[in-house]
Amino acid sequence: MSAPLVLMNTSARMRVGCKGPAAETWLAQLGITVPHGANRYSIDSRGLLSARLATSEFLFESTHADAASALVPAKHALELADIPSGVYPVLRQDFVIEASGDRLHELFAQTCAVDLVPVERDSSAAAGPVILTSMIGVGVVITCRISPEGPRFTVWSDPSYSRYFWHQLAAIATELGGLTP
Amino acid sequence: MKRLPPVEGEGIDRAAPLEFSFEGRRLTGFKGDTICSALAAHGVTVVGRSFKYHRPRGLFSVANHDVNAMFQVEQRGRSIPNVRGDVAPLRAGMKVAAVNTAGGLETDRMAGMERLARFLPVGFYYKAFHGRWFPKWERLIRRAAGLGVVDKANRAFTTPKRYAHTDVLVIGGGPSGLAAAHEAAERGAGVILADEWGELGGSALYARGGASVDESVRRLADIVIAHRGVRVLSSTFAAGYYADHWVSLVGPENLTKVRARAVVVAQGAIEQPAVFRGNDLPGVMLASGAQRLLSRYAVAPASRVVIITANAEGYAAALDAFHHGITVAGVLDLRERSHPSESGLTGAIRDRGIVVFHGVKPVEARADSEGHVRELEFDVEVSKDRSARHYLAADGVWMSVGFAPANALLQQAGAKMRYETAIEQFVPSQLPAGVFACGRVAGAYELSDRVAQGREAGRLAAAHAARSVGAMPETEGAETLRKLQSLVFTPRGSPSHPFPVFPHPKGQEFIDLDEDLHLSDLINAFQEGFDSSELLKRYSTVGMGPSQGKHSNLNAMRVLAKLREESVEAVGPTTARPMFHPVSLAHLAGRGFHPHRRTSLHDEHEKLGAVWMPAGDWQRPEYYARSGETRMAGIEAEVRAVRTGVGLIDVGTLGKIEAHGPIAGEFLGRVYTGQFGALKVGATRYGLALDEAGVIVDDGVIARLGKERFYFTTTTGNSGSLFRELGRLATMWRMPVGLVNLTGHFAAFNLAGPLSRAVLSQLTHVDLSHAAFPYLGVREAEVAGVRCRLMRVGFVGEMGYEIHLPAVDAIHVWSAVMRAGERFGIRAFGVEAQRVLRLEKGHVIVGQDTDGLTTPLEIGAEWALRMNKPFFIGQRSLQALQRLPQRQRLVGFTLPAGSVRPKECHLVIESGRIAGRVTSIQHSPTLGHAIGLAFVEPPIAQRGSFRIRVERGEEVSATVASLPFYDAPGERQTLDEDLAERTEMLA
Repeated sequence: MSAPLVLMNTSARMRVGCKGPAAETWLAQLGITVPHGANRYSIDSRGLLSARLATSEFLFESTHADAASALVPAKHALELADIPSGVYPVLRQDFVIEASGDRLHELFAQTCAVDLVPVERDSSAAAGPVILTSMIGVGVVITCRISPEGPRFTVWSDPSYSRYFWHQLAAIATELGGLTP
Repeated sequence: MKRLPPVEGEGIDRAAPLEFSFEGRRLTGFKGDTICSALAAHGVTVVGRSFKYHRPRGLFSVANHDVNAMFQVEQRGRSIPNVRGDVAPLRAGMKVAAVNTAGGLETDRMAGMERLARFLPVGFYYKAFHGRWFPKWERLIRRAAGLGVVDKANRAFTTPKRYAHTDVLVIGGGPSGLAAAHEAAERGAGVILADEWGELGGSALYARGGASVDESVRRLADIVIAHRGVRVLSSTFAAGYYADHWVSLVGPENLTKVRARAVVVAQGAIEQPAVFRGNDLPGVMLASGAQRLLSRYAVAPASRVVIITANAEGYAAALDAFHHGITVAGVLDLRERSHPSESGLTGAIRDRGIVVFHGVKPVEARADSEGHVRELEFDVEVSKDRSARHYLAADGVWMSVGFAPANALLQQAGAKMRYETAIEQFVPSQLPAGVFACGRVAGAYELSDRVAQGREAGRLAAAHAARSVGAMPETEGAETLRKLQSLVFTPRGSPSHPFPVFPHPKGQEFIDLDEDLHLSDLINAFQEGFDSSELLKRYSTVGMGPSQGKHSNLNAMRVLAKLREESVEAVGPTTARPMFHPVSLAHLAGRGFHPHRRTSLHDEHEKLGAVWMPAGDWQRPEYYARSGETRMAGIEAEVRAVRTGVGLIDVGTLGKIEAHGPIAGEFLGRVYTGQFGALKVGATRYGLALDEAGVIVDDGVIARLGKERFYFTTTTGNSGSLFRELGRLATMWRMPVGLVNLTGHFAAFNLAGPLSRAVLSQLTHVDLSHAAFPYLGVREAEVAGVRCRLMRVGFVGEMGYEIHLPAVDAIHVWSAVMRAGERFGIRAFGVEAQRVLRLEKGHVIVGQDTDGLTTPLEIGAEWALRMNKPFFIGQRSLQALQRLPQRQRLVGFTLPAGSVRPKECHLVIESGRIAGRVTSIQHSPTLGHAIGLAFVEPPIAQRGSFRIRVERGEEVSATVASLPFYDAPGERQTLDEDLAERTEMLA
């Protein structure tokens, strides 16, 4: 059975970011593990997504209610700058879209110069590569997670582009027979 | 009707008739026809008029290579100009009309233009288009020239561009391209095969030599189509090659940008015409075009033909004509004898009783009363110094005298070419890494050679794709080429004549059909000194028409080589640029992606009646419209609110960046002209960023939030580029600085005016007294329950607080401030009021009051320079500039009462020459008169007055004024607290 292209706004999820040479050690002290390789992400059993952007910047997102509690200490510490030297907070107010459905790659073919087919191939239910690129002129971070229903791509973007970004993607998705709840 | 009985492999569906009209005449074609084949099937021989002389023109290449067959097509309510009839599929209901006519094809009122030919010599544009005659010429030429008509009533439609990725891209679906695609796919590579025709097989499909299509080619095409590793894009041509193996593919509906790991160019060769008097008459065409009509569309373009040839392909064309029942009046071979390898073909010609002439020199093609060819006059060399004149009646003259390789993409990819005299053709002499060539474009003409070369190119391309991109060593390119070219081993004669150009005393030997260029035009251009291929092209316009020289460049090069008495290789080809074929603007435009940003307060501004203006990628309120208030009245009211009470402006579009780390201050001190290593925590400082030449590129406010923590703003338009530059500098200088771009994630607004403190004090516990929080201070504190960064700034010349906070909380805090300010008459103000306010204060806007050459020395910003620092970007240039006389100086100015107000960019005139320009000008509601900033030469600044030229050449006088215009002592920033309190109480 074919699955229509679906775009979902998941910006409301709890999200935390930090970077710096001491960030990885500090996160480990808080019980947050991060992927080893550059530009990789993983999701733990609680549903906490940890993404390493390039080498020493990290993005965390709660994909499940259980994961939010794991993020709270880090979030508070970063907000209050109660952090050791070498750890820098990165405010993440991203506009986030999750995309799924059979015609995902046609959507990306019209909007992104990076080939995301190998990204899907290299991703699993809990880990995969992180792509830092641009879509329709907006800088984005992209991951893919394989679920029983198929691949699900997550796209993080600057919130000031949210209206433009959503309208453009939704228009294309609609042309492709998709749904934008 | 010229439609033939069913032909093997024809591409039309005779069971699906399609009605259409041409120049108002109702006609019928079949599904699978192109516009041209359907017209030819009805015996329509004149399909258009030439660009300059409006000569009647017929089908020529039937391959989208010439300009003759372009049409205005109306269908489904749209009128599309310049539709290429050679390849445009026929659709039911199409209304087709010729382009470039005045009053219709047959009754073209411009048909007599040729009589004016002697007044329109080569380069007449350049000679005529100047002085007082220019407007007359321009109007005349615009009326006379032009191709189709753009229907402005057409509604825009989107043609989404796509990206595609592949291991190997094969361009061209002829025998060599098919072999390359198959071989690469068999070796596991993912392949995209793009071919401009609707069916794979290339010239093998139509150049049959009176026989069937070669079965091996047909079989190979079927295998490739069925192969899981090959994606075939038919009716798709490669328009341009760009860096890193990006190739733009233009299909019927849209443009696809393909990124390939390796590219195989198998685009074949383009048949070239012979140049002789009358070679543009309807009925004179390329043999390959005639063969296409015969084989693909079952249309006989003539009943009796003469074939001018210089290669085996011409003999094959004669056999094809004979096979389809066309009388072949004669085969006129330009060579003294045919090549021994052609014995099979010449024997078949003899067997069919077709007369062959050798050593032929075409003299003239003559037309009948309707302009169609009726006879060819030619000379045959009898002995070394004697020839005999002959005449052959024919309604078709087919030319097969040679080919030009379709190597534009190879050249764009960076391939080097050499002229191979054995085949009279340019072939690659050097290929870039990851680019491969095979088939006719690489010099292989025999079918077996083309297939073998294609297979090798496919093998090499797959191997290259399997390695990491760009890993191919340079030497491998040369080795690849050697391997590919070694695969041409079948002996045969040259496919191309070295000089198929035959001057006639009366001229009219057309060398470029697009531009109506005669042989004499090139000779005249050469004699006028335009003696290089690039100059000749630009002066004569050869190769500059819609077909981009596909059938003219090579012959023009040969003519130039002859005139220069040099080889064709020495003359060299002109630069090949995208697009290979013309591409419709709809394809190029694609779907409109124009990224634009909104601050998190956008909806609040809407509620307040914001009138929007673009600022870089952003939309910003220009002012807030109120019922019964004009734009100017609104802006002035906003200014007054700030000067006398309190105003609030969204400045969230400013770039907002953090720099972290123990040496962040030192880093910023290298980027900006000021001193930041010693900046106290809790303080801010103005920062000016320069480039290496000392030119101002950005400015902002740098705040020190902690020992190792800085937060700073950039101008609205520069946040992205400056952030990238900072990252580059940190890497280059090996300075471990943590940079965070908060631009989109942070909101910011400026609460300004003498009552700003009174408003803010209601929402925060931070001590706002001047002693505790002085001008240029920065504090982190809660405002309306949200943790914010507060900066005491004075851009608009009043006491003010910039409030920076996470974007998600912006509406809450903005609303709280507006509520708290209600009793003080707070008013939101827009960009226009801010511009007035800052101008009154004499503050510059980078990008408006500066340009790409402005240094701090010219705007009076010496105070922002710490020249005694060890280093900052642009310091050395400024040290040099300080020793030189100044070029210009930014000064304030005022105008006499009642004077016409100049506009920004109006020029300062001194003794009839330009001596500066106005950069900013506004009416100041505070001062009651116009004020402005202008660049002027330093002596003018010293003199104290200057003149500005306004519209219609009028000049107004201006008086230099000291800056700032408002609050010179700066008392508004250190407003006496008692005064502030009294003002607050009064409010």
